[in-house]
Amino acid sequence: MAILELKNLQAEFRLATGVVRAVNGVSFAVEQGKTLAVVGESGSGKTATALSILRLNPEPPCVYTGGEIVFDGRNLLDLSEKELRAVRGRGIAMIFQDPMTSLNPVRSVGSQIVEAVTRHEKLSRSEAKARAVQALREVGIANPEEWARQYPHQFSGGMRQRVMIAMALACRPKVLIADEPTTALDVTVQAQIMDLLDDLKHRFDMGIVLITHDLAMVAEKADDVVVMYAGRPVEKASARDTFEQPRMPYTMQLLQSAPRADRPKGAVLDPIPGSPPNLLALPPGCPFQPRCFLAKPECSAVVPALETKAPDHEAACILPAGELAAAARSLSDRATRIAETERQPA
Amino acid sequence: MSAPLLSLKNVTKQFPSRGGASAMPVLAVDDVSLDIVPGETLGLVGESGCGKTTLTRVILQLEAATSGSIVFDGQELTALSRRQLVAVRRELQVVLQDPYASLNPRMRIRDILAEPLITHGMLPKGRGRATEIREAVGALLASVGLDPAVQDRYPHEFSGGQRQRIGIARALALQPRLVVCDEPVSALDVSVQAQILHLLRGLQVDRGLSYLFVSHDLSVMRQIADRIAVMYLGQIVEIAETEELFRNPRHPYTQALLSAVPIADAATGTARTRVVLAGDPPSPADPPSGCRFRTRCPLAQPECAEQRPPIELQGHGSHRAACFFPVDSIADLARAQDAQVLA
Repeated sequence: MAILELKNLQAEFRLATGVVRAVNGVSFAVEQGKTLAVVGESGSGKTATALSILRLNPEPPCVYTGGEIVFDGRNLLDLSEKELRAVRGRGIAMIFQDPMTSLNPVRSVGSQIVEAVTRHEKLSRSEAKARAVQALREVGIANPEEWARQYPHQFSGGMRQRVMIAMALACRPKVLIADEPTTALDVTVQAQIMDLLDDLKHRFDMGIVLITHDLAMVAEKADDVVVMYAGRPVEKASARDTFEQPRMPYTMQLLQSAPRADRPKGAVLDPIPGSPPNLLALPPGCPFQPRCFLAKPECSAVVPALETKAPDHEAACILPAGELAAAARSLSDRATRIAETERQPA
Repeated sequence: MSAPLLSLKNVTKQFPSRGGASAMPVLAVDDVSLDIVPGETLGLVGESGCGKTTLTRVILQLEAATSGSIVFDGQELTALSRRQLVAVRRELQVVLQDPYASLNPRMRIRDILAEPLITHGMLPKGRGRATEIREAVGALLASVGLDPAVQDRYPHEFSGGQRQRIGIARALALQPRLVVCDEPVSALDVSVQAQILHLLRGLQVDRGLSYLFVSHDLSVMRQIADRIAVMYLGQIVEIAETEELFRNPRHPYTQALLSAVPIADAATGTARTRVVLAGDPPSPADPPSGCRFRTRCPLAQPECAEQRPPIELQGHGSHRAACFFPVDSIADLARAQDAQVLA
């Protein structure tokens, strides 16, 4: 059952230079024990969406103009600031990209976890301390009693992210929002943190919303995927379907152009022309149309909404499902062909 | 193989400690030897703090090497005077990671690109100079796929990918032979990375450039590098041709690194054997004795603590790795790790 559901969420930022519609009709459901990935480039609205869930976007300039965020049977957009505080941390917790700026440098790590716990639960000092130590142990920190007394600068990047996770999970939230949790970390440490999140997700039957730009991480760790472009969801499906049979030209081209460690040199690197659009000056019609390899004149006439192209697979494109499937197939055939010729010994 | 353009022999860079008397100096680059031949891309991979950026700074003579020799085009760089170095720098340029920080926001694109030409006296003085500059800059912009007319604009008017193109144009202004690319695509959006890699590859073919390409991203590395050197705690632990390294990694660190790279394909991604290393790299101020990787290595034996494994020929061709007890595959490494956990 879905524990958190976004229904046609709309949020805009009213700036002096114009109105940016950063979250434009986003819908998805997060289930317990599953990971939903929101993937997109910078400016796609993925972080604005994540922050909207906890109402953490600064208001003003952010205004929620429509839709619902349903958590535990309540619409979070209707709650008062006081009621929201009870949800933040306890019902839905969040971890961020840069663990150093998220921690207070002048207080010990243990006391920061104690603070997070006692805000939501009536516990004695010693109980709260024990809980902090327990939380550090759960995220795989050896010698948690000792580390709880240390300060953030004494931790490595990976350890700090573990501390952030410990803090987020100390109150046993039902949903964890992870905003680029490993972008600042090294490859080997990245793998440790992602494995840890997977393990904790199963252990505590928690739903995870993973916000990232990293397609490969999504392919390996997510159950469901929402691809965002210029503030809009443009493709929605299971992770397997998204990667095996993408139905949105943007996703197809992205998968084709992103360098992959399992493809030999020279195997398909067709760059997507241009750069992501400025949200203050969107092109007419489909926001991806100026860069799309399948663009037709009609594409600049209407903004396409998500529609079903295959069972449980939606894409925001006006082209018929058959044409999209054929395009996806021809791109992946090309990739396979090139990879095979490259593999021939010279 | 032709004569190397750049040749490093036993290069070491040590930084004095900042702490008190008991603190140890930091050995950021430790006894590194490598060659780059004309027209080749040598990739340098490693995690943060492994010394890869320090190594590029030593090569560019922005830091003096503590010991060792750096020969570029037959000249020993460590012995040159400042004046002699200026001439060498014309042939040895750099593209930096952050295209937002590496362009002066108060200079027009034309001034940014003309500055190296003026500094090196490559433009005629007097009348007609302004036209010369306009033409030279226009040609540079065109070579990196930008409209020559944009030279009157300022950096903030460009996207990240366009700024990186300007950074590349600046590096190419003096027609260098070796360009050090320090993480040139890691600050860019995924859809733009491919454009820049494509551009770098095209420029290499057209101009016969050599690249020293630094990155932590093995996916990018496989697409651009001819050979790859893997660095760990200041040392090169493995060096091989790109395909050989990906298919037949010998050093356990390389094997673990390759197995940890996520792959954007739901089927292959989840089916692979993985080795997730425990812990973090140790501090370069207090490195382990013997093999520096032994504290995280599933294969470590008592001997590994006593002696540093030399980097020796292993596998095919010029493949070299520094390990006493290598295993043949990632699956073998995973088995060794499981056995270690059980013991």
